[in-house]
Amino acid sequence: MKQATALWLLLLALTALTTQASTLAAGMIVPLALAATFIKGQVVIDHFMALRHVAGILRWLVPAWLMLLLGLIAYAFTLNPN
Amino acid sequence: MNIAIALPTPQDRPGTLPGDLAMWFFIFAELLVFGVLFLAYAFARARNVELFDASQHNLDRLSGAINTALLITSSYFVVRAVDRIRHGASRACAAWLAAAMALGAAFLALKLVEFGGKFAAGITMSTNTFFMFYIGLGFFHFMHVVLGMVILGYVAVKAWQGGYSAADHTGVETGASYWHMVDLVWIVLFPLIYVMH
Repeated sequence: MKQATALWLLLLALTALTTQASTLAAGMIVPLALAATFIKGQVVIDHFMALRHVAGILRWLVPAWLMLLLGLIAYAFTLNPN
Repeated sequence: MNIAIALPTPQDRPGTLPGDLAMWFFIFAELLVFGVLFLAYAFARARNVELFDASQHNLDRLSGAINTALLITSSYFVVRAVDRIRHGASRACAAWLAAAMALGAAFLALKLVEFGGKFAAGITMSTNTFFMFYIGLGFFHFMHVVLGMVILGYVAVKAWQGGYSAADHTGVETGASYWHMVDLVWIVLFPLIYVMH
């Protein structure tokens, strides 16, 4: 089926978007990069790692890692040293 | 080329993790370590934003993006390898794994060029905190790519020799799971170190 190929192209497109995000206004870079990273990570976890069919807590460990990690990174980028 | 490939679904063992459970505990441990290192970078940056942002300007963002594309594509090739062995095509499985390894080798070569450029410019881990993380995290991930290629190489040779079948291919799924973890970690590392400021 064509789903894997479509997801691979989506991942490449999101990589291009992430790379271009650095040229955006300062307030847009982090939200856009994190959103793209979340989608990319979830695609790899659910479809390439095939965790979407797994039952129980083991299905959610890696998605929870991704969500917690990106959430804490987002928080760290809001901290002002001054 | 047949694009009618199936995404990995361990249909013969519904509800279970693909591959060997022991590898998954190793993957969980690896993700924990990388997660702590990523958060150390993010919170260290919060204490010295100007230094981190100025240092990040010295990175080759295009090189990082190309490396991301290489790893994502190699992961896709591994998906195709798993699909082939599920259909009993062990030689095709080995060929897709070899293609994934070739992209992994290209990743390593580009990373070496990138690091070489930094070292030639006099930048080392002791230059400042940003470059300590950039080189340290990059090298740590680099070694995981090397290990992933060793695993894929072993699986590819065994597949080529007919060591897996449509009914018994846990080893292929195990190697694939590790390689996707290496890809997943880089998917976070690239925007964190190269893009976000």
